[in-house]
Amino acid sequence: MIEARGLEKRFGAHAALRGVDLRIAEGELFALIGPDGAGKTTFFRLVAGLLTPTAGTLRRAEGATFGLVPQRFSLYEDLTVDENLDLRARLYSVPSAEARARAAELLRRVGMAPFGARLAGALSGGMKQKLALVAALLTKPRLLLLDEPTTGVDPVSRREFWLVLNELHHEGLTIVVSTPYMDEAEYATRLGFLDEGKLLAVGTRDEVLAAFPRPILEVLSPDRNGVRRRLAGIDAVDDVSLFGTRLHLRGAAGTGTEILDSVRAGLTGLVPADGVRLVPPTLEDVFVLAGDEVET
Amino acid sequence: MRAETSSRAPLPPGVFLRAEGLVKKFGDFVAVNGVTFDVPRGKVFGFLGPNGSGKSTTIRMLAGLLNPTSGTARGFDGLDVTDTERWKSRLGYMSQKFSLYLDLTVEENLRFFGRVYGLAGPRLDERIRELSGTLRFERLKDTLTESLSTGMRQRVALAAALLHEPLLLFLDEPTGGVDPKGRRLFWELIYDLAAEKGMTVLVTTHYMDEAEQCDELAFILNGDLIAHGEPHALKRGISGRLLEVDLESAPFEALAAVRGAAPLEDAYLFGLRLRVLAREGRVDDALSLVSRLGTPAVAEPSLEDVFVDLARGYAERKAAAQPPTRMVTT
Repeated sequence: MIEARGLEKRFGAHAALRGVDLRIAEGELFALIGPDGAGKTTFFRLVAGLLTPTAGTLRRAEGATFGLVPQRFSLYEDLTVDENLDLRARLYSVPSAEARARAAELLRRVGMAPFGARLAGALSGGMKQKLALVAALLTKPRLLLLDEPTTGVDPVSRREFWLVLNELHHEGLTIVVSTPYMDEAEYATRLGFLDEGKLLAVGTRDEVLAAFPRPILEVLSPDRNGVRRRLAGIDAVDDVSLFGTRLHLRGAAGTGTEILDSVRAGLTGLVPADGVRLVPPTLEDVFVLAGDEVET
Repeated sequence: MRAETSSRAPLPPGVFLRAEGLVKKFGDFVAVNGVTFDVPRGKVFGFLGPNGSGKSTTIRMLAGLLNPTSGTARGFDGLDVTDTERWKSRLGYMSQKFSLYLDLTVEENLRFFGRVYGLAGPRLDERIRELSGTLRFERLKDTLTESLSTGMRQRVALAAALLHEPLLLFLDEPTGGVDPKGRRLFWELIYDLAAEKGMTVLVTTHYMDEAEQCDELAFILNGDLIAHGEPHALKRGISGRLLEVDLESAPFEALAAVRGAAPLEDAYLFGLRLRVLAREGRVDDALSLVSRLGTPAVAEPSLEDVFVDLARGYAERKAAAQPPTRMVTT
């Protein structure tokens, strides 16, 4: 559906994308993850044809019509939901009877049927994003591009939004979505980590996790600061992060499972041995490591 | 009239700031609907809610940047928020919009904000040196702010808010747009400020995982305070009833298989994990229901689980037109 080869985009001296090779097949639900400024929005704009590459190529499959949900709400806040959709249909020359029927059906699906007469500006954050989704789907695209559609949206609306995305995916729509939430990335068929304009890892969740080269330990302790101070003296640990009520420790490059013993020994008297255990890495661990390796 | 002469009783020693019935209306729209809470001294206090719930409006009123329609705030050992200039001089404020000058260097920005706070000469030099070390941007002092990453800009903005050594720090969505790595680093810094310098921190966020780091929390929804307490106390309401099944694949199918089942108050996905909340007294039924999908375990509630549960209760009470506030006491 989408094929990028050596894709580069520069804005003056700033390289937003620095040689991205990526194929996204028809029917995929592909998640693009990466820090702010990684190049995600630039990638979406290139796919949507709003920008042209500085070097390399980006091809969309023939006849691959698309809808884009941009990161910023781009509908008219002083128009109602129905007026926004009507305007959108006219811009894209969707016959009005068809557009009206489709808008009604889509609004029903996202649970917004009762809100047609409400001003877009008076919608909650979650509903604004649902409206943007409906607008993007009005033209019956084969490819749906979503640039951080759930950022800042409340948890319940996020869940509802993903239920709809999953349905659309099952109906055959190809979806490319970026997100800062790692739990959402797990719903994708494949995901890609973008950082500083480079794609650092691509694959299924299991592939990406299996390639993670470091041991991760979890420590349960109410005295998080005490644990952090003790761990500062253990060279085999190169990252300590708070994960809710737990601490996640990452073993330095080249360390294996023997790190468990050194951490247990280092925390003697503070944390019982069974409060320290090896755990499988999460996508967030992958993400943080990718960021560290680029930085150094 | 000076605020200290107020006849009201002084705040208890453990309380650094108290919001008292704060209301903010914009025309007919009630952005904040009478919120009351205490911020404990030297702690990290999280103020949570989705976008548009009234978080930022509340924090701006508490920071003396916006006049409340009614209600007030007291703090700093005897001040009232209506004593605006003195109130503001003792606090630091950093917003989601960072508000640095992009066409100035990092150091030029800090000098500018330092002068705004009345700092100058060797004292200002020393503060800039200290903060650029603590917040790890020393080597970037001569860089144009425009070319910094969002995470780095955020640390510079934090430094600007800390230059005058405030007793209370307001952080309004400080990690918006910052990646997980940057968010973690930022929270470690915040924690150290509270633990080592005794600073009181009030922070708003919509990232529920960040809220886990806070000593105390308040949840706001549609301008109403819907819960307030320590994280573990807030979790008590659903602990023991929340079950989790690790799924290998097809999460949405697993969800569809149990959604709406009678023993369940709620069912939802968190990545490849299915979480269900059993109704009171129906835990065993819920367990046998979800055991068809995998091996269930009792899950430790996250604050996102708590928030969703509170929001559901709030919606039900609203529908029944009951008073919307439920306080969780610790």
